Amino acid sequence: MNVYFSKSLVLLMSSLTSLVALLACQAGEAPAQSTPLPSAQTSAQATAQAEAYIWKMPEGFPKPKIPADNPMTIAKVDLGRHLFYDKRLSLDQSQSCASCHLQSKAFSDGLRVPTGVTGVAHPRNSMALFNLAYNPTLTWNNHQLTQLETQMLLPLFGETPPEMAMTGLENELFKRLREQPLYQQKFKAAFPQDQDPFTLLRLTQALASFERSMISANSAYDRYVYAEDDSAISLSAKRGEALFFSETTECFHCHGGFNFTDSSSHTGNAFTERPFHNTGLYNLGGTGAYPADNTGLYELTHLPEDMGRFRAPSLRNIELTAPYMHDGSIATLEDVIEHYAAGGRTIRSGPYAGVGSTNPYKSGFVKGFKLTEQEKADLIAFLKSLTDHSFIQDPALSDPFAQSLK
Amino acid sequence: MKLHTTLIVSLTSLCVLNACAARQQPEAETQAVKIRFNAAVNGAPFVCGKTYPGVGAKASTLTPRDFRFYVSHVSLIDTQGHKVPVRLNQETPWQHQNVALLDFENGSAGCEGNLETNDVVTGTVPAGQYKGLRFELGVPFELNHQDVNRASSPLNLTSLFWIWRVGYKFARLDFASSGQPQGYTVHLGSTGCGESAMMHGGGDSIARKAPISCSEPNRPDVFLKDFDPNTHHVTADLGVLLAESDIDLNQPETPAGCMSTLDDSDCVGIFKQLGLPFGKAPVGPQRFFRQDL
Repeated sequence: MNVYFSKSLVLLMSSLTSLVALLACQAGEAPAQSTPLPSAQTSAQATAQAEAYIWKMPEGFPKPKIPADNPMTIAKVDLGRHLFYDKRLSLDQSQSCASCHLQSKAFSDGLRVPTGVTGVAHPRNSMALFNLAYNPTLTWNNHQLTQLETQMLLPLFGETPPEMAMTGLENELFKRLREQPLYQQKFKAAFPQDQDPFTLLRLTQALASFERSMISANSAYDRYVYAEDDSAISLSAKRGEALFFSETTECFHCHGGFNFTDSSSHTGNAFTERPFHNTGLYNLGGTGAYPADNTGLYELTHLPEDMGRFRAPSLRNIELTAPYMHDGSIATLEDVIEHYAAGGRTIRSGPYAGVGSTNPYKSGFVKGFKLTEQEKADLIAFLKSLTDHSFIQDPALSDPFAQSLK
Repeated sequence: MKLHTTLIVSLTSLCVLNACAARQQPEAETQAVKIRFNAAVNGAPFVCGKTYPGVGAKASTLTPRDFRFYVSHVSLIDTQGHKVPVRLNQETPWQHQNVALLDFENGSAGCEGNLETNDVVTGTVPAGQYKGLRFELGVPFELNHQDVNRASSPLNLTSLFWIWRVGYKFARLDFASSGQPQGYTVHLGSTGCGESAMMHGGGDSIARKAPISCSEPNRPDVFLKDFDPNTHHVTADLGVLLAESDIDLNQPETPAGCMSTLDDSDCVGIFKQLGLPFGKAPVGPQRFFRQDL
């Protein structure tokens, strides 16, 4: 159950706040010497503040599951936001999380693949970041990384490839953060119960809380569906919607549901699917193989049928997250539709030559389709109706350091 | 065989004279045990900043960067041939439950890591006669898939986290070679692990699920049958580990060296010397560890 939205909790919080206010008043009436509030009251006050995180999403939008050991609080989200935008988190202090996750691109980066601080390119495309609290898995092809608190150790401390390249430098990282009065204050505010909050657990909990606050639920299509505003999307987009949810294109099988991915989990699900799919992007030598540095789920499970299977990303904000696919190998939405229309990609020459449509491990839903030019334009109009312009301009998700300079 | 019994015996006598009279079931008499490790490259002591010629199948030159590994399930063999677990001291940051970290890099002279080093495993066994040593190279399954953000020393070092494989690097043996000046890495760990192998602290958190086994656990079983802790060291020899590998070459489109990946041919010779199966290669005895006087 998601406690953040429970009405009883909100009531409880307001009673606590009133109580604190009452007690504060009484303290104020006391004789002039300053009497510090008894600790029970300060902690009640802290709790009231800490619990006050309110999700921003329309009525009817599913509520995310939050790990019981890391409840959302305003103070944690605020600390996480500063850390997300802080270059102190990388080896040479040249990159922050935001270097590869730009708000203007729904927290993707517009590059085929990103390059870490040591100059090594990552084999896969930077994923867009939004609605992460619903994702049962987080990366393109790892079925085991299921929680943000641990997944983010990869960009921070991973070695193959190095990204922020802090491997073995956790003490240096905490030294850098400790030296900043800003973090002395914000770590303490986020974790008031800790003697020393400068730990991996707290760092990752704060970053995860900020990332979970990245809710994108205000596209034109959301206004059409949740606010029942029939004029929110164009006629062309409505025709595209019908095509998207048809057996002709089969798009919805892997990109269905409120988050436009079959990989979603929320408080209404008892069970969680963690599907990964081979979409016929490659078929090296007709064996079904994908390039050696990008074999998908197979890399983790060693099962032949997992070759080339990658996670179906959400199609929300897809207009902003080009280039596409796990390796950024398709430049435009138009080309993505051509790829699926052909039932797979054919690469005629070079080391990756092969006919993707005959990949033996390909998903049964990628069977190809014929659409008129108008229908393709309609499908794209629909996909563009999933762009959430308020999300990419939300000040609560923006760079706090840029703001403080203004 | 003479073990480090003096202190324990005196403590026990003291105990008998004083407080222990009240105890219902006094613990069986124990003796301290200290297992000493060495790191070497073809017999020469491993030292950060040294270079070692003649390493590997093509006699390359090796410059160290890291030399750390975990051991677990450490047992002595008694005179009847039974395995007797060593109860590891828990007061040291190098040991946790039944796992210990051995660390031969000092974070200087080209080595990564940190200043502190450790070349012993310490603990206790029931008083008795012992004549052999057995242990596993690696972090036990029960600890390997824990939430690393909550792990305690020595399982809280980010350089030994293996996030992508949702576990730990059992061994981190990194170096540069004449042909791979950017670095050649040997990272051993479990692969092919089932869904949601990583557990998380949160009570009803979405990912809390018992780990499923790994198809390639990759924990070499080391048995030194005449090992006497009073006279022998365990030597981990990087030169022997690499004896059949060409460390100047790396298979294209794979990380430099061997990261325990099933499709990385750079692992073939290394796994052989560890006594581990690799694909269809025949499994032989492990040779990385030996006992030395």
